[in-house]
Amino acid sequence: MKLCFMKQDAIDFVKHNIDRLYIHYYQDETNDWIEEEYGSDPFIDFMEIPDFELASLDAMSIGEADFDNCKILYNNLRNLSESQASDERLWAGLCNGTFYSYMRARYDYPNRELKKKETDASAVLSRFFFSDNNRRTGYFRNGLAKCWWVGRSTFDKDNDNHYERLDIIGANDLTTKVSDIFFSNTFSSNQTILSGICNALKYFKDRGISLDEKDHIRASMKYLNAVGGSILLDTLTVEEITKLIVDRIVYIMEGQFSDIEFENEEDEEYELEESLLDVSDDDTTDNQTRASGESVDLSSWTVNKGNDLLHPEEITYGCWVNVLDERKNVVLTYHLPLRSDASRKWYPIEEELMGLTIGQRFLLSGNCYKVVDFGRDTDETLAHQQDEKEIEIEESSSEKIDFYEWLKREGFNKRVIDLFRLYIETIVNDAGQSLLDMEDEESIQEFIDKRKSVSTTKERTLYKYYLLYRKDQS
Amino acid sequence: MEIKNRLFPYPVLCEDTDDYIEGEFRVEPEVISQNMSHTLVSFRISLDNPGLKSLIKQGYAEYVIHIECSNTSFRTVLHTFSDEESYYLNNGKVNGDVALVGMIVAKKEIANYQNDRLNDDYDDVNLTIPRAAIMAYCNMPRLNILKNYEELSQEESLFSVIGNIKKDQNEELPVRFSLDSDRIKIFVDAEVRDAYIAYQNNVAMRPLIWSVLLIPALTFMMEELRRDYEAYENCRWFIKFSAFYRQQGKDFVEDVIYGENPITDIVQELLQLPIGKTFLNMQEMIGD
Repeated sequence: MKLCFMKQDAIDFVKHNIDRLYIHYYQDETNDWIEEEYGSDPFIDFMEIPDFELASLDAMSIGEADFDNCKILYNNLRNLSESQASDERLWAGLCNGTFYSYMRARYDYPNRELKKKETDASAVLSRFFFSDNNRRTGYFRNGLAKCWWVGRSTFDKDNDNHYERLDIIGANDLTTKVSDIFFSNTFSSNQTILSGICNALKYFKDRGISLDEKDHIRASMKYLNAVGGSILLDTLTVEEITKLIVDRIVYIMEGQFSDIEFENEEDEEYELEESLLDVSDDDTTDNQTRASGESVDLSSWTVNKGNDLLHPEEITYGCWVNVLDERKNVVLTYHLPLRSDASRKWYPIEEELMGLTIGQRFLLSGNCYKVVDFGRDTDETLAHQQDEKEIEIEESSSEKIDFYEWLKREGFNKRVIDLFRLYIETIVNDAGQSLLDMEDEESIQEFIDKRKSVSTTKERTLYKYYLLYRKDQS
Repeated sequence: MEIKNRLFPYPVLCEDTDDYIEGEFRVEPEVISQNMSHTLVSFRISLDNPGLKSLIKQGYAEYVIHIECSNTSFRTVLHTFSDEESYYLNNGKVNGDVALVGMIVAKKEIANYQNDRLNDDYDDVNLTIPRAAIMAYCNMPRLNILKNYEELSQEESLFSVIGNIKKDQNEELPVRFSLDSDRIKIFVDAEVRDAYIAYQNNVAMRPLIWSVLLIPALTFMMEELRRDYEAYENCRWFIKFSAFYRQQGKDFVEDVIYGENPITDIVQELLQLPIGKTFLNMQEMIGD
């Protein structure tokens, strides 16, 4: 595949006469009209690269196609330097040359209704060219350039999934997110800051919490910009940036803060253009004059425990759940993994629990269960679960389920299991035998009866569950 | 990034505020070398404030050089405790303006901050400087990495002649000019542009073309510059003209824009007196 760029003269010609020429983008299936109007070949060969195709527009939504194109374009044009990729001639060449038909289909020009001349012409300019002299504005609005730049900005060569950051951002409202995260705020050019932003978005995604693009993402970006007015964001760590955004969004969710309001005509222009062009626009700001808007109490920067999040309306990722096993009349506790946690399989009962709420019942393997209570697990609990997983995986590969494994599957947390383990290891019968080594039911019952008269409540609870385990296994 | 008109909730040593009664913080950049791939920039840092110097020595604060090219989304920071620092800028990662800001940044929270040179307004004020606070800053002159324009092809012209599409055959538009960041643009009728394309490489015709298109274009440019040159000083053509005059031992702003010569003289000299050459070439042109 030959990559062509568009001659500067040809770009100047089309852009200067766009109020006469924009109609070709609606009417002409091929780009032959450009040469006819310009008077000579408007393109020059730039480089030869292996063939590639952009995302199919028939098989997915426009947002999903743009999302895929971020990866496709950056993967295939990774040898472009940032300097080359900020050149309008390259992207004008691709949009008006190699990918002219694709671009027309992407923006539905064959079927699009004509509206006002100014609006229609302006939309063509920003999609097929750079809409003004500001390169950054241009490449975050051009139909193809913005995909390459988002791919490049989110690409992480050190991660096995090079596009994990992009996956976290997701395809929904991609154009608006691109505007809010990458275009409106230059701080996202710093990879540490961008990682912090993506980790914050992941924090909520992992817990099944949907963020509103405007109320949460845009608001938290404005907040970060305001914070950057009084301190240098570039010197903060990934964790500190994550913390700032997570806390802010949690506060917004709890109604403690609303969006930061700035009286700015450009914001109105932004809304207007966004609605007219399906693309976002805002003045590129970098912490200018916004420092006094709000101060940040840096002294209170502590790790968020996750408990501050609003109580989920239904059981979702990262929740603890108390479930009543109606047959055994016992309450079991489950800890649902985070969304991105692929380190262990979900138990069938955990899958059943997703989306339920207090009081709801369900049947599983002939048993009837009822949700008694649930809430968000703390970060500490979730981290604790991570620690356990390796052991858990190893043990689950064995067919024999021992008592401790059974306890885990029943949803006991590690602290309780460890306590039971301690009791079992320290208390032996007269013959020096551990409870777990006893085979005979009678001996076990005798041992337990003897201990019950001198043991604590917790130890007696151990025996209760051990008997249940024996029953289950038999 | 350039820091301007910013209000800080703590004292800052800089040219824009009087938070400190004396002393200064300066960072001076110098391009040491430049080749196709890299530009080596050195930074000389001078700080006249014993209190801040002491904080840096104790590790409570550090010098930070913030480098950003918004054209290419390039943004990085250098951390140093030394008075001198240098950096190899990858030319492929920048294009045009590169903004440089030197700062002193708190590495950790500083409770009960005191400094002998603080303004009296801070007397009896218990100051806590937050981590990452910008305790001093200095906006440096921007770097301009120009070589990248030619990365895609050799299109070095400072001028662009653009054809207007006429609404009908009767429409007649005057030649117009505009200045954008890369080029000086000349808008002419489409037929005029076709003629320009046909004759632009004819050596005998060149003085004529320069006389009728470039002289008014450069006159327009000089009028704009005499009105407000600062609006254009980062434009590619401005930098090229500055470099051209520097080679002649002249300063473009002081000696040319604000010089005593009339614009008509400046423009003709810049184009090597094309009007006279036009008349001298007429015989040859007619012969052609």
